[in-house]
Amino acid sequence: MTTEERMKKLFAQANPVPDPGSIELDPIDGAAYLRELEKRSSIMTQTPITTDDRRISRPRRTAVLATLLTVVVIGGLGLLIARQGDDVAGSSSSTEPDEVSVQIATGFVEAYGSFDAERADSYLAPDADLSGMEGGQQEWQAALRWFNAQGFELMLDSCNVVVTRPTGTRVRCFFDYHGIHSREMGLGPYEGSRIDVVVVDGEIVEAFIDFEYLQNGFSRQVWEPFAQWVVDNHPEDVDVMYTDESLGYQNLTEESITLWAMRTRQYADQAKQN
Amino acid sequence: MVADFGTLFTEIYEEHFRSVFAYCRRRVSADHVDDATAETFLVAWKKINEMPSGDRTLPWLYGIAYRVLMHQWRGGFRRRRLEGRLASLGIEVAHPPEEYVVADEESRRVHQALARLKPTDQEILRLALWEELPYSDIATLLGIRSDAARKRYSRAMKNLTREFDKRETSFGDSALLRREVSGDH
Repeated sequence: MTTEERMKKLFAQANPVPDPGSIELDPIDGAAYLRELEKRSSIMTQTPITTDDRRISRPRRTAVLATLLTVVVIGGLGLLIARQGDDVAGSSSSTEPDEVSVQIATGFVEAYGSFDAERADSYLAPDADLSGMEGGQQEWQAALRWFNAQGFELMLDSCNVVVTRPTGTRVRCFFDYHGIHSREMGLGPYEGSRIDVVVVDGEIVEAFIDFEYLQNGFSRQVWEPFAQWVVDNHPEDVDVMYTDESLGYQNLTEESITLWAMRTRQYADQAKQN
Repeated sequence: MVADFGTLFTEIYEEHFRSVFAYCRRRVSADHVDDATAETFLVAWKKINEMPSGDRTLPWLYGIAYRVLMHQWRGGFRRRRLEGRLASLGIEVAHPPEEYVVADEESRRVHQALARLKPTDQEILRLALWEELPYSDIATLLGIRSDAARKRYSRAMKNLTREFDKRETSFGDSALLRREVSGDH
């Protein structure tokens, strides 16, 4: 049995970067970084404002960049620069026009949000990688039944092409959601989540869902109070409904889904009365 | 006003770039560190009018980096959950080599044990022991109360130890197997 003190030492030894000072970096020049930003974007011409992170496109690495500084600058340029780069790279006949890819992605997300597994499946390539979806490759359809059971609502915001490459067109769909009947309880909706899909030859070959649940308050306002309510009122259900001691993940067995439907309904009804 | 923000940002960038880079490197493979660091500072620039001063600046930057990485991680978390289920069925899942660029087998076990914990608990351990942040900063960064951060750290450490110990037997077996294959007895 490892003691806590030894575990701490082992954990410290497992630090991949024990000394940040030992990292070899090019000279760090903040002024140059800002100058480059000013040249390449309108950000510097505006007074900085609080923005929604989800609208900031993920930067892409570009092989021709000679220095880390330039990588950082390019990282800040957003979707426009990224897509210009793709134009240079050219497109393959295997990729769809952007509007078709967006339609496919939108159809898939709408079917997913309607808990219609059959319709969602119709957008997928036979060997589509769904390991990043809720429930993973094996249980994504069970996850849809679970979503439906616990009063989940997906509200699609928009779908946009992120990047087009010979290997496929990546479309990002942002959505807000209610969960565990949060709408009925006067909570939410909860912002900041997304589904990304990769479209090739008119089919989705990869999809993953990125749930925001910490920063938007869902965990604190809904998930954790409900979990505590289950622990307090139905402790016998805990092991059936959750996979882990911290009650962070739901079980996707039919027995669990039935309980989720029942307990979330009771919880919401009680919350509405209080 | 903008010039003031520019000066402030320049100072912050130069002072904390290395720490933010290290934060990201501790959590993602080398291929993604540049992007994650870049996006962190881009968000920081856009939110610079919210930036706290003094000792609170770096934890604030870590908070941004945490959120940036969360977007990258969630898919990975779910994959690991699936892998966990496969492992329970005796099916081995190959990991990309960059996931375990660690010094030794013991550290590898630590990383494997860590991956079994809830994401927030993993992060609390990293923040406490790798970034060496106090509970108050961890709490702010994760949006929880300070006493909750302390309790969750304690729970996470217990769970990590349990998972680490669970792996002792299987690790020993695999190490033995490697020695036998290599003829190094």
